[in-house]
Parts: sequence; structure tokens; C-alpha cells
Amino acid sequence: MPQLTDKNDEDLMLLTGKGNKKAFEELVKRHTRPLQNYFYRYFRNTEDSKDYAQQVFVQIFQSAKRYRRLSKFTTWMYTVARNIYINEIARRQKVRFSPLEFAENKGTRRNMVEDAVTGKDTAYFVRKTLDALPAEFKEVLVLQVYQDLKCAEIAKLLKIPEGTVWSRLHYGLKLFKKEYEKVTGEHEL
Amino acid sequence: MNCKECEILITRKIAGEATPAEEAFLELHLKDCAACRQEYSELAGAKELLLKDSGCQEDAGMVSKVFAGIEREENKFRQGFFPRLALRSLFAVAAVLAVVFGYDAVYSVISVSDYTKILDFAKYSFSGGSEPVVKAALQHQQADELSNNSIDYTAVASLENALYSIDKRDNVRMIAILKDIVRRKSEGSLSGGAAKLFNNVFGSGVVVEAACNNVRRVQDEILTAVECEKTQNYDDAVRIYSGISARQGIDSYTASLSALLAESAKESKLAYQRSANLKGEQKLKALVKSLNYLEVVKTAGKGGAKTRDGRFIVGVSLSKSGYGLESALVFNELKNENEKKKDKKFEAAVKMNLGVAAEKSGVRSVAAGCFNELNSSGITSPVDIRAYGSYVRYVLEPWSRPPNIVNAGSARVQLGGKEMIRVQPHGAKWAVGENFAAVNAWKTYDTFSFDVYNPEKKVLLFDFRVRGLLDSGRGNIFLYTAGVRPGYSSVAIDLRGATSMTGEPYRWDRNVHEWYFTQNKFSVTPAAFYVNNFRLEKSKPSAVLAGATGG
Repeated sequence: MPQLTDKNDEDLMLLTGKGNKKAFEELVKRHTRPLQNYFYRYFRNTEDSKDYAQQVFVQIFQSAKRYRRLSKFTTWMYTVARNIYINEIARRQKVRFSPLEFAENKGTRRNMVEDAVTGKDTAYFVRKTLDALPAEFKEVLVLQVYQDLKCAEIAKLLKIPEGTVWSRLHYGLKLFKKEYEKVTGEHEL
Repeated sequence: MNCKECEILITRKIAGEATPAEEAFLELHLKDCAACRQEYSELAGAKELLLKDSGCQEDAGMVSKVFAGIEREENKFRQGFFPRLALRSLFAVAAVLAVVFGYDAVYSVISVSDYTKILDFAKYSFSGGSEPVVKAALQHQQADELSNNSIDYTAVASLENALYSIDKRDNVRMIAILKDIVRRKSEGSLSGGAAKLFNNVFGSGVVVEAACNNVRRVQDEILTAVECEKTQNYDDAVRIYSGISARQGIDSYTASLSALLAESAKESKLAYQRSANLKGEQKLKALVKSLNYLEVVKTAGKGGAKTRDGRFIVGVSLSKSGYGLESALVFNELKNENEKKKDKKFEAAVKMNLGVAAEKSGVRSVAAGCFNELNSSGITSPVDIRAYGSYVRYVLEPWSRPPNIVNAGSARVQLGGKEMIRVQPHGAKWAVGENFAAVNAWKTYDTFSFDVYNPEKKVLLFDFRVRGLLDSGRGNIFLYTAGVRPGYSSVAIDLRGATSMTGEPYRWDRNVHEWYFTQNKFSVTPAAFYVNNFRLEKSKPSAVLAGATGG
């Protein structure tokens, strides 16, 4: 009898729908790190990322019975994750800032400074650059480069044509390189 | 192949999705085209750079966390489901009775929900929300109309007035109105509906008496506090004012519950006795009535001061009013009783409160015992025992964004070289801070602090309230009365032991929706004050502490 670890995500999900908790456990183990990282790329906060990843898994488990093998499991998982992220962003953006308050916003920046001090220079600047990219480019880069999704999946997830995903990936990478050089140039000065 | 087509292939290759044929084509083109080679190396370099950021650490305990989350959600579902079921069956019974016996039978069944509403009221009295009782009043009024009784509109209006006074926490006015009603009731000049409502809501005068005592005591205390202020003994003044405020809701809550309890038990017994002499339809009605009252007793019993939860509330109230030792004794008793029952959740809550109360009254061995036990079961205690006696705190992470204060009554001003927010008495909420910390952030912190400047020459009292998305605003919001001395001072609000206005531990796991300043009922002439430097703070984590002391 094949082990649970040999099964693919979709089979595990169908088993979960039938009430197999071990199968779901395996799914959680497989996807914890990617999911946590997905949220981390947006919120840059480890604790928050853990909470959101947990929320995604809870939602997936609750709707496991409704899962049909119509799309890849990861597409479905990231759809749930993306909805959580969008809602959270909407909630956070309800807030207006005066320029002064914005200047005081050092929460994210401070983490980066800490990283830079501890010797993670490249990673620090990569993060800084990525966070400064326009949202549509950042999203495709995150999903393709870090989350390892196929471009067809990304298209399905973002509900945009596949061609658009390819062009966003292309120009996103170009833009990233350009901005990165700008940022590191600034730093060296 | 031209360069435009090649561009697509380059992207596909970098995404790792190029087929072997596509790769071969690309290789051929790159050999001849320097521009595309440049493009390729640029994009490949970009991806390589991106991959240098490895992201955050994996949470090893995710599996158990997820299953805990699932269980919590399932519990929520169950809790939501059964009351709905009960309500549905209640309506079904009502419908059947209506067909068979007519309106009276329905009335006696529906009054179960009336009582639930009244109980709700009792629970939240003195902390706002007369709406349920006003609704119940309207239903009784309708009952009067239907049974062709003459309606005593003045009495109903006075009752509503009394309720309004409770809403406003105006005990003196409430007592005046109630006394008038009591007089009219004894003269027999109240209509059926009004009398019934009065009975249901205010019981046999226990509440009135309790409120009278309360007012007397509060008056005494205020006089003492005023004396303290005159002699510039601000610390005592602050303690007295805060004590009064914290105690207020709890006393009346317990009193009104015991009144309801006594009244309902009596009524139930009477109805049951009467049913013995009745037959058929009448007997059934009397029995249903008796059962309804019994239902009230059972429900009220859960909150009465004789029960476990009731005593818990009393303990919290004592602790809040500064009676540390008394509070510790109550919790100690509860802890001993619970050793047989082993209700883990309750145990943790009791230990936490016992620890805090013991700490307050200086019984450190007991406090340390509680916190040690809590720590070993994974619950962070509000006190760091190793640095005992002093609350070692440091700012772990400021707001992810600084709080935005929105209200026409507040403005930014320069004061002593600092930018402060002027909070001025203005409408219901003086100044509203929206929550900028991330979802669930408040639950991970121990204190909420801010700096205040009090320009007056006396102690300034104001209320600070926190509302979660799911809090109804009728008592389960968090209220903290801050008393600040003249000049600059800092206010630190302990979030760990915080209770809602009904005395239950406040649920910080609900997302905080907003927090705001309001007038305190004891501040007769509300004055403007200045605030800044809002911060959520954590106790120092043990690892850092150990490093500090070890070095």
C-alpha cells in the first residue's frame, strides 16, 4: 500500500474530504513553509505570516468536502491565501496617514535594518526592492519565483490571460534588476 | 526567430517552463544575438538575486496549531447551532399552542424569551443597553392592549426613564424614579403590564436597596477623594476614583441577578402549586408558566453570586477595587474546589487571578506558585517572577503604523517640545484611535501605554474603551478608567488580566476594532488633556532576560 508521503496533493485533499486527518497533516507539513513565506513577502512579519498560514489551512480543511479535482491543489490553496491577503490589505488601507505619521513608520524598516546589521545585506536589499515594486509585478514575481507556481496556474489564480502573466514576469524581473541596482548604488554612496 | 519571439522564450526558460525544443531554439538565437544574450543574463541575474532571500523560518508547530484552529471553529459552529435549534423548537411549540389554546398560551411561552431579554438586561445593567428591556416593555404594553386592560403609559414611561438613567449610570435619578414606582405599586395604581414589568426587571426592591447603598458608599468615597486632592495626595485620589469605577457594574449585576433569582423561584413555585387545583387547559398553562420561571432561575443561577462563576466575578471585582487579600481568598477557595473537577480553562483563569490578587496583597509565595504553574503549562504570566516585584518590560515592536486619531474634538499641538494630541470633550467619543497593529496583535501584548499631560490642577479622570469587532457594546467591551495626576505622566493598561465590563476576561483574540476616550461619569467638568506615544508593549522574553542576567 502506498504511503501518504508518496501521494500527490490532489489525492491527499480528496482523502481529507473523506475525513482522513493524517492526509491533511501531510498536506500541512508540505505547504507550511511556502504558505508562510507567501504572507511573509507581503507583510514582512513572521508571527503574522504564521497566523495567516494557519487561517488558510483551517479554511481549506473546512471546505475539503467540496474539493473536486478541477484545478491543482496549490492553485486552490493560493486562491484562499490571496483572498486573506487582499482582505487584510483592504482593512489596513482604510487608514489615512498624514505625511508626518508616514515618516514615522519605521516598523518594517527597522526589521530590515536589523537584518542588514547582521550581515544579510543582499537579502535585505532584495526585500527592499521587491517591496517597492508595483503590486502587479510583485505579485507575479512572488508566485513564480518563490512559490514556484506555473504561469498557467498564476493566470488562473489572478484571473488574467496567460500572456499577461508572461509579460508581467518579464518586465517585473527587468524592473527588479533596475531598481535593485539603484538601491544598492544609493547604499554605496 | 526574431528577438521579440526570443523574449518570450527567455522568460519561459527562466521560469523553468521551456520545452527541450524551445531551449534548443533559444540557444541557437543567443549564439548570434548579443542583445538577447544581454537580456537573458539580466533576467537570470534578477531571478538569482531574488532567490537570495530565503524568507522566514518555518513554524514547526503548524500542524498542532492548525488542528487547534479547526477545533475552535467547530466549537463555534456547535455553540451557534444549538441555541438556534432551541429557538426554532420554541417557535414551533408557540405556534401549536396558539392554534390549540389561543393567545394566552403563546404569551406564556414567549415570555421565556422576554425573560432571556430581561436577564440580558440584568447582566448589562449599569453598563449601557436598555434596549432589550424597552422591547420587553413594549411587548407587555401590547399584552395589556390585547387583554383590554387600561394602559398606564405614565408608569411605562417612568420605567423607561429609569432604564435610561441606568444607561447613563445615573444611580441617584434611577432610585428617585423607582421609589415613585414602588409607592404607586403599593397603592395598586400600576397597570397589569407595568406592574409585571417592574416585577420582572427590578424584583422585590433588592436592586433599589443595593443601588441606594452603592450611592451612599460612592458619595463617601468621592468626599474622601476630594480631600485627598486638596492635600495633593494624588495617588490615593486616583486609587479611590478607579476603584469606584471598576466596582460599579459588578455590584448591581450581582444584586439584580439575586433579585431575579428569588422572584422567579417564588413565582415558579406558586404557579406549580396553583396548577394542582386546576384542570385541563388552565392546568397546562400554569405548568408552562412554572416551567418558564424555572428556566429563568436556572439561567440566572449560572451568574448568581453563590455559584462558581458568580464568585469568580466577585473575586475579580474585589481585586479591581483594591481588596487584594479578600480577592485572593475567594480565588484560593475556587482553586481548591476545582482540584476535584479539573476544569482546565477555569483553573488557568483562577490561577491567573489568584496570582495577581496575591501579588497585589504582597503574598508573594502564593503568587509565585501560581505563576510558576501557569508558566509550566505554557501560559505567560503577567509578572516576571525572576525580576520579582518589578514589571520588567520593554518595547518589542511599536505599532506597525502609528495610530490615527480621528475626531473633530482632537487636534495636534506642540507642547513642551513634543507633538501631542489634544483630546477635548466632544460628543460621545472624544477621540477615536483606529487599530493599526496587525490582526490579532493585541492578544500578543501585555500592556497598552500612552503618555498624558494633564493641564488641570486636579486629578483628571477619563475612560479608555476598546471594542472588538464582535463586541456588542453592551458590556462586553473593555473599559479602563484612567486617573492622571497634574502634569506629565504615563498610563499603562494591563491587557493580560483585563476584564470586560461584565467582569468576564476580555477576549483579546477578537480583532480590536477601535479604541477611544470617553467622559468618566465621575468627572463633573470634563477637561481637555493631551496624549501621545501610544504603544503596545510586551514583557521581556525569558531568553533575553537570562542573557542579561547571565552576562
